[in-house]
Amino acid sequence: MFIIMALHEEAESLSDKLEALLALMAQGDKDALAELYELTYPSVYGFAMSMSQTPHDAEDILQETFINAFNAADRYVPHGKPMAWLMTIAKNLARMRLRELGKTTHLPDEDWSCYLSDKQSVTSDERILLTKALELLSETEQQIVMLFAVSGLKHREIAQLLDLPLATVLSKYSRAIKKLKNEMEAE
Amino acid sequence: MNNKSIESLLSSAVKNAAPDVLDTVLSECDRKEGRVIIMANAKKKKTVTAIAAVAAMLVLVLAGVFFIGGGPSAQIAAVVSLDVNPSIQLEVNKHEKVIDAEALNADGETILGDMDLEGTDLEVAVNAVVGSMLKNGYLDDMANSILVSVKGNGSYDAQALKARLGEEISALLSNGAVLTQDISDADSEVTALAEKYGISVGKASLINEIVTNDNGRHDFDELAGLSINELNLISKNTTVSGVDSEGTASDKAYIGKDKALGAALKHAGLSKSDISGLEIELDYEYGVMVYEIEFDCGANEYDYDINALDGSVEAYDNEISGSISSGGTSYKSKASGKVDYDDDDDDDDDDDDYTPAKKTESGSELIGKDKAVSVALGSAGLSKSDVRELEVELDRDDGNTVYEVSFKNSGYEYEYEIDAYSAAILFSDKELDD
Repeated sequence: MFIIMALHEEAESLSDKLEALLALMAQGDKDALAELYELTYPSVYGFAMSMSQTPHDAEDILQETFINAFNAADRYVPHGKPMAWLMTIAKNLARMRLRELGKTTHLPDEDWSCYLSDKQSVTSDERILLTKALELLSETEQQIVMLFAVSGLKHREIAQLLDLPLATVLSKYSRAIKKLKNEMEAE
Repeated sequence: MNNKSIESLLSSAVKNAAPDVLDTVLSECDRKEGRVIIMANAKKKKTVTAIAAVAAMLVLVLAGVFFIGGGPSAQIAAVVSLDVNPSIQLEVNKHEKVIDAEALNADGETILGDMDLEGTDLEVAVNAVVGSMLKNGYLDDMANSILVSVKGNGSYDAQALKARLGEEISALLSNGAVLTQDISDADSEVTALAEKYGISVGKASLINEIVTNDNGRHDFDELAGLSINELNLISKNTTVSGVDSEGTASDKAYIGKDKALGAALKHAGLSKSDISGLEIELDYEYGVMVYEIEFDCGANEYDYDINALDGSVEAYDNEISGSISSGGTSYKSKASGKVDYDDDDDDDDDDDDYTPAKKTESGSELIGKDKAVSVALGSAGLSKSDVRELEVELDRDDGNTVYEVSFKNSGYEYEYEIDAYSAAILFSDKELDD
């Protein structure tokens, strides 16, 4: 319980922090943007990965999300959900991208495993887990897992963001994490 | 590996895998003009109705556990019980995370199923439970009442939580009837009754309120087995304090006042224009829901209990100047000859669509649910503690009034129909439980 409380408080203070940074960004403060980037890039990237066919797409979404956030910061209405706001931008970018790309097919798994094995900073456990997640989980499951585990969104926020019933989010999440757990234990 | 370690490994994996694009971002932001800005769109208007949203909860099969509140700080701040017929009890900590979810009866077990609500937000848990009740048909047009009871520990503001949950559930159920009560001060007597009857303290408290205020019309024992919808309907006849009521309990499962009156009038041989002082209310008598109908016809006072499910005459009194017909006194009134209720009618009528009235003093009496259960269990060679999902209900089948008893035991599902008067087994079935 202490851990939960700590997490909870942490999440709240992160939200406060992000809102303060967005307020500064709204006035054109690029240092604030840099700080926001440092605090949130894993969250955005995780979600971007789950929505992208290739590492290249994910990188584009990551980049564009922050550019758009900077430009739209003055329209952010503070209501304690800056992370969800950021994710909505990422989602919309990904959807737009998907429409542009049309039905181009990729070999996503190959792309990702090449990308990940080239990344020196990624440990082998991490690589295995990420590869499994991208391989085995459905796109929605990936999104939910990333948004919860990496971005720290609440299930309710995820439901809203992805336009899914809360129950679906809950059940998909638990199924997905179980799948990953089993895979990792089998390794 | 547990969920937490998967989550944190994933988190570090993504962090380490992310390319560093900050420089590009910063330089791109200098060229602000001409860029299409993708905004977070305004909150989408919900197109789904509340019921549909709740119904979607049904998919909820939570096998995994989220945050588990363990350790010394997992103290129970409040206990919330949700009663419909299924009874579920949720214990929450001060952060309104569910510490424990418990089914208090067999229907409750059906509702909880595989759901693991521990560690979830109370609101989520309540949504899931209500959703499951809808899905499983415990809450519908015919029975729309739910009782929400909150017991706060120490300084916990149970009133506030009660009000909030009441609002929330009312919003979830269109046309629902939501009863809410704060039972923080429930006395030991009520708690003992709850324990004795295996019902929630909330339900016990509601029944106790009804029994205390209805001038001895019911006793606790009689009402303990009723659903909240039935109790809600009955409670309308008395003043029940300490319970907030939102919405109207559905009586759609029953034949309705008009039909009930029609049945009574037909039995009395009267027409609507003959009578005055009409009063009709739904009540629970003789183990069934009945319409209690009172009316006068001249000097005659009529008092009918009409079975609310099938319109049969459960019992009646016809009183003229103090003499009561139910003693079998022959008397003449406008209803000449129609008000006696021996089975060998002398009027050989064609209106025999009524079952013989089972007036308590006049012969056959219902054997009662307990007896029906024990007959069924006896036949199956099982005892009550062996079986689960035990259900018994009074029903009519092929003109017989029967108790339908069903239960499960080690992979088998048993069904019995027990004659409600003779206790004879009319039907039995045992099949593999799928």
